[in-house]
Amino acid sequence: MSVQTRSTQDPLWARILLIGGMFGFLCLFLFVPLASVFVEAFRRGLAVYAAAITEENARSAIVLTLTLAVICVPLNAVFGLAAAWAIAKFSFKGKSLLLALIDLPFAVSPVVSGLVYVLLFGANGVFGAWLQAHDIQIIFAVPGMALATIFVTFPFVARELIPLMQAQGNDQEYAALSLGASGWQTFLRVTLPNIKWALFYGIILCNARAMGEFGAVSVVSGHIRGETNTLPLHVEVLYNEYNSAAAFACASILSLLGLLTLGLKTFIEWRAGLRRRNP
Amino acid sequence: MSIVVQNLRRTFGTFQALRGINLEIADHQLVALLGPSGSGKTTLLRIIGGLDFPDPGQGKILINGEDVTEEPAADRKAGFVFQHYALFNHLSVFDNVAFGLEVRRRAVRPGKAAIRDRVLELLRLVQLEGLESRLPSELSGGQRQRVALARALAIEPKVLLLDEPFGALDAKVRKDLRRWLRSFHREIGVTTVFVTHDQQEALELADVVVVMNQGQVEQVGSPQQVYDQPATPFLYEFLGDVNKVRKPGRPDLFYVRPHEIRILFAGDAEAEFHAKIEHLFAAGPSARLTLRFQDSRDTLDADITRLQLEEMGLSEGDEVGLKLALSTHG
Amino acid sequence: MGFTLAYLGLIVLFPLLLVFVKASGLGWSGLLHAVSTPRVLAACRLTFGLSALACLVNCVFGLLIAWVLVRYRFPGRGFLDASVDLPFAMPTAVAGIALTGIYAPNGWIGSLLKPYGIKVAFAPPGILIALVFIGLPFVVRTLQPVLEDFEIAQEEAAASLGATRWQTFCRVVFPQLAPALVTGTTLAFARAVGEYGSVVFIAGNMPGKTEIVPLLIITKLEQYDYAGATALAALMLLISFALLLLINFLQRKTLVRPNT
Repeated sequence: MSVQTRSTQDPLWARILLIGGMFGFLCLFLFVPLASVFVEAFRRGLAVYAAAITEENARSAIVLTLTLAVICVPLNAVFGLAAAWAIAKFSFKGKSLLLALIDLPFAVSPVVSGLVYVLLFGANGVFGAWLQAHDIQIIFAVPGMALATIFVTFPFVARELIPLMQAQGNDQEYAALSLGASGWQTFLRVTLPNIKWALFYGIILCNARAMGEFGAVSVVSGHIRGETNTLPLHVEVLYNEYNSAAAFACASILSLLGLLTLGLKTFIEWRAGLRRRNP
Repeated sequence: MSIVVQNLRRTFGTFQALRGINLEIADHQLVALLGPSGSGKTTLLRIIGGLDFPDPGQGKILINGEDVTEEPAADRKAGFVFQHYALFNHLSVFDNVAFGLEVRRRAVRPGKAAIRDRVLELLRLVQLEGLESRLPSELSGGQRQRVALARALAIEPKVLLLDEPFGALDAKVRKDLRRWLRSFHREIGVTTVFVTHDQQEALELADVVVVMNQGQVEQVGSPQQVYDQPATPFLYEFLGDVNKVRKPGRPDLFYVRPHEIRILFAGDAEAEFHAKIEHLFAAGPSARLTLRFQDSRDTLDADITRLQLEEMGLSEGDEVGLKLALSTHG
Repeated sequence: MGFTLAYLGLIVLFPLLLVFVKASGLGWSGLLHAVSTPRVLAACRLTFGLSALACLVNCVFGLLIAWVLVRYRFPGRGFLDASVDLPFAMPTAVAGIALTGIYAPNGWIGSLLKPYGIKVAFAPPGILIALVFIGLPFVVRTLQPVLEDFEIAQEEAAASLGATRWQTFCRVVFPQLAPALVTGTTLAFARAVGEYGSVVFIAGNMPGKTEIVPLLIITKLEQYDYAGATALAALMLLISFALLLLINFLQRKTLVRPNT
């Protein structure tokens, strides 16, 4: 129990001060900025808002963002599952190296992440000459952006699953196998149900990052309007043109995405928590 | 220092943990609060120690005659030893024991040398000298227990309160520590109250046993009194093994302890009942017989000495006569 | 197994190593030269200095927020707990323009500060605010589980021995929270030094004054100074690796801690 008993309760004045401090801090750093996005978005009225988000470039930006998410999230989900499976159920040399590698995109600046793909596939890059010869465009086109997004978002699913699967151990799987289930059946009927909430959660975070990623795709995209601008990049373009109402309008869509992510996260924690209390 | 509890009530939500406790503990006594889980004994201990408080206006705690009911734990000078020791994991044994002295206000804080002397003396007292620089994680359960004790004693408490002091330890360690605590208490003389659900422990250790059940005090007395003259059926059953026997022709139940049954040869004239030995268990200091009555099909557990078992040459399947000292009514 | 390794190798390892290969093509002296121009040094000072400062702020307020969320009960607690993840869930560009909008001289808060001559947006304080924003969840979320699992009997023991609440916090609780606090702060630091989206709008990006390292890399790229960009990226990568090792080490240390 972490709630304080009478003998370990902080004095009332301290509690009021700390709670007030927290409210103040969170308002200043979280809620005011969030509110400002919506206020600025609707400042010029509903008509301007609607125009901004249905304008042609905005629409292609939305489509591109969704496309990237559809490519990257399933790939990373499968990978994350495979990696977590390997790490949790087997012991092998280099396991800690693998774990560190998985955490790598978290520690690396998104700009650097984008840069490596430019180095690889750009005109002067390692494969540059070969790609040009075959007329394949990766950088400054969607494939490059997909690669950069995959890189940046791949830890999410794995990181959610690994500690959970490690804590759950192998007992249930062994039991299933000893009862005659095949490997695949065991995975589907035993492993997967046990991790489904964590998997869902990891996918949600992966998706939020994939749709919201800015730095890495910025380097790789070339900012070609209508073609290689995701929604966040489109927001940047609008903002730099001092078209702030439109910029905030598009930003408000992304904010809704963020809030939706938070809502789903809370829902999952509630459901997963409920299940933990009633095994 | 004496402890007096008056009309104490404590409710958690809708659950009445303590329903009006009245208790007097004399100075220097070693008192056991004994009872099953949920009886309120730990709640009572915590309230005595200042870690919890009675319902507003519902009772008083007096230590050495002073009303301390509203005093918080920090001012009460009641040494508390927790069930899982609650040692400060990041501090050495030395720093743990010195803690109560280090946090005193500057005006009353002893000097560094004085603190050092006191801590080392206490560690010697609990037989842990040489272990000052160890961390709690490097100690065994019994050792941690004694550090917790030394830590509580460092503040020269008016009373010493122990919450299930041996609950988390192995059986052998528990036995040794019980013996040790008994002589330790004689040596330091501080009024000590400990909580336990183990009746063996309470009866062996305490000067006075307070048996609690469902938030009330069922009986207070010496271990002998409480065991031999239990005031209620609950006490009889809780404090030792019990057989419930029906006398043929009478509908009521009688209680009898396994060692109060006299086993006689089947033909003995003094035998009041007759039974068959259904099961014999002799791998221990005494022999336990499970007996099935001939007339009523009830069973009974009887304890006899190994000596008697050999002298009578009993084995499973034999028929015997019983004489029961049915002194207690069910 | 093999699939995992192949995927990782292809997507992660190979591209990253490439950076170093390319950078080393410059030779040691070339590398050193590229990263020690005044402009680069100024950017490094700014990035690392402000990140460190932001982490300190997050250290203090993160601890405060975690304490309040875990130990106190008040209406709206669950909502506030969920909202701590906002910087994590929000696209960085959105945070960037929102913060800029507010702290610009004509913004909600910026206009309040203008009469006092305090410039937030397009100046280092603005960068600081953005870095505090994105680092907050790391400290809070690292501390919360540790606080929740904390053995409250230790606090009761301290109280029974005569300690005040403040003494109990300083001598008993805080030392045992310190490892998690350091881990969370290091995570926030690693995130802050590499952050681009939230910072680039509010910074103003004046070379030597408010130009952060990630932006400098992009600028060099746009000017086709591949060598310079790569050198700087290699430096950032090295630091990221070092931080990653540090974080892993710290995390293992906090997990291994025995409690009873």
